[in-house]
Amino acid sequence: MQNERIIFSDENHKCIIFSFDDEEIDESFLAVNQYLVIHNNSAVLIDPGSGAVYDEVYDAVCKHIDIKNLKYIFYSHQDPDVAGSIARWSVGCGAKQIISKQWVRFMSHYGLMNFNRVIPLEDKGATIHFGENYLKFIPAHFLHSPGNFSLYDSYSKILFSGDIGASITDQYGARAQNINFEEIKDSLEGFHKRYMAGNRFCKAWVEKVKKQDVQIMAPQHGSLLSGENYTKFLSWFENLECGGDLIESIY
Amino acid sequence: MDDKNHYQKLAKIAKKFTLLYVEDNLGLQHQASKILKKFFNDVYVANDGQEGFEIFKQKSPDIVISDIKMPKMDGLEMAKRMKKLDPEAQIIIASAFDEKDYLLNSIDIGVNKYLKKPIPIDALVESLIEIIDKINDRNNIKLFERYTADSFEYQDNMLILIEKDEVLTTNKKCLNFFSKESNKDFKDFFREFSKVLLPEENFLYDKDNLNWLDIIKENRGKLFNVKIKDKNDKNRHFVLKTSRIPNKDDYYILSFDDITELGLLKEDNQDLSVDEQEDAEKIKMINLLHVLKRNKSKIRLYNSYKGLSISNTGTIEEVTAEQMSIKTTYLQQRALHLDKKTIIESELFTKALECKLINLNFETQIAVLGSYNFIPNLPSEQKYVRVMPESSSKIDVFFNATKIMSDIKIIDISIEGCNLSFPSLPAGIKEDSDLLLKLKLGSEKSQLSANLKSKVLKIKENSDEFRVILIFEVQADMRKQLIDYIARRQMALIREFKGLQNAK
Repeated sequence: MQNERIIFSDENHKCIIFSFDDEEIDESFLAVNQYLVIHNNSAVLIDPGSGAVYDEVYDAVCKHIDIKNLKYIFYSHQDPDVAGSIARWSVGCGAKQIISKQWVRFMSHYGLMNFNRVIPLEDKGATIHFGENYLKFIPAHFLHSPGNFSLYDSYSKILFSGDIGASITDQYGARAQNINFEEIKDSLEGFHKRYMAGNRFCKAWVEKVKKQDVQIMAPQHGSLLSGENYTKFLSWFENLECGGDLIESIY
Repeated sequence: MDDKNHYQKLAKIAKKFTLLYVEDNLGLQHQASKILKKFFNDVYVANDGQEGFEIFKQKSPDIVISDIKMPKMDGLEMAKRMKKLDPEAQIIIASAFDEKDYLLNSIDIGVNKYLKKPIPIDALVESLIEIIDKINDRNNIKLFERYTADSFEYQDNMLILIEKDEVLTTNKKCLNFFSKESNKDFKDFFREFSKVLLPEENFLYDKDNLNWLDIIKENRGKLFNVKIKDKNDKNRHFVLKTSRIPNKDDYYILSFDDITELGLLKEDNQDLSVDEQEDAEKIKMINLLHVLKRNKSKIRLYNSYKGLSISNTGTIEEVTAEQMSIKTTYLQQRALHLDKKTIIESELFTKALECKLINLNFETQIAVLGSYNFIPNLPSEQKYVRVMPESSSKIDVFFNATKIMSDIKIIDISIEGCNLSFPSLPAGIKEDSDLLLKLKLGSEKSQLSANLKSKVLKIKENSDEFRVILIFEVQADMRKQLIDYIARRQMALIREFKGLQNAK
């Protein structure tokens, strides 16, 4: 079974998707993706997942780089399928852990007391430059978590979108190729309508990401989207009624 | 600038502004408002002075263009009322009359421009650009003053307000220091500002492909040392702090605090003896604590509980040569209470400062610390989580295949190595010696047995023990088991620490 795939590679830069987990939602499967971005000798791990997959993700990362060169671990939000392995990563490597400042006070519950190891992200986000390129933490609050970020890598032009764009499918990102937006639209709808807080947030996020040149959108669940499928997703998402817009259906 | 460039500039800068056009000639009104809508998103139209004044009260447009002769209320009367309501209202009067009286009246009222009808489009565009630039400058200065005037930390500092990479405005102190006549001169000069920041260890300047401005924007609130030559070619030492203006994307205030008089630059200490240098270091440290207090800058406090590092930020409330008051988090205060000391680091320090706890007030969140002592090891450089194993854990140490018969204790253990306490040290053990460790970690119920090869990194002799720091050579499989053990132990220690917290 293919659990990893290189989605960008040149002499300086590499982006790899791992798919080591799945979970059930509404009797469907939600495939969980983890990502590793390597620039020369430094690496960032994105949404490494739950404690249950720590060993597999750790081994997979070590196949590509010396663990000492893992500089940052970015958690888009606080969910257990994203950040459940914080304690083990804090022990197993020296990387700084990047997460919304909204979640920092919960870190001791995850098993971390040394806040020098944590870089809290301000609500408006941040940028890490490397040469002329950068990693940009783009606010994605309430989509669905109250302290939530997407990460844009200007070198590979990949947008790591976290839960946004998550398709409820057993199609692991590491295996799925050439996904057509129309085909997965139905599998996006249920999750986004229930988990995203409201259309105002969808619009705000779309406005932010439109400022970046995105070639691939890489969500934490399901398939990757690129080209016109990405554009179609943005149009769909910015017009989506969800969460608070549909309050009558849940109260 | 030619006409085309003028139009392009106006189209670029006018969008976010609102405009009121007052004209009783409907044909002219229709024609002019059609042109103005190409530049402004919101254009309001009125047929006479009275209607114009009503719209002004309701909509507060940024710019007003008005005819003079109109029914109900003429343009000058309307302008007078508008200026009374808002002295900063920007008004352009357009009139077919070339009479001195009208012009003088307009000047008295405080009208910003007087244009002769029919207004040539290029003259109108030029006037609008001029007025929008004026409004922008005024708004920037207001913003600047709002965030700097009342704040003690900004007093006497050089200040620069920027949007993205461009200077919006600066203060007199900054213009004087760089011998610039006006904000406009400084704006041009700032584009080459990276040349002004001189290289020095631990100082901010363009290095490793990183632009100084990007670095400070990514580290808002952090303090940076910068070295800049003054007009007499003398090096000056500043502490640079960047703050973001709330609700204004990409707006930053750069504040330069001149601390040259503290004598912290390397060149200031070149002729001192070793003892004198140590004294000078202490004075520097106290001075730096004052700088940190003045800038309300965060310091980082480090404590440990059974090997587990507990670190939070704090601010300095008071500082003297003997003691300082620190405000920090509740969690850190509890750790301080147990440790009776703490280690302080700041981005301005090259060494860490160990302090003893004198007094702690949980209600005011203030800890009083004293007995400053420099320590060479920076706790921030400790990369790996360390924990003290359970008391039931055991260790046997072998040197040259012989077990060392001594009561050896594990002080702490990380994934990379461990810190052991030896009552006495067998002959022959020195740095780089190979030791074999047989560890039984954990409680009786759940135990991890590990045989690890290790190398001595450092030996420290204390009054009643030897501390030996060892680095492991761990196979992949064992490494995972060790990570699992340390993560579980870490969580158990946090629970234990929080239990102590509840017990007070």
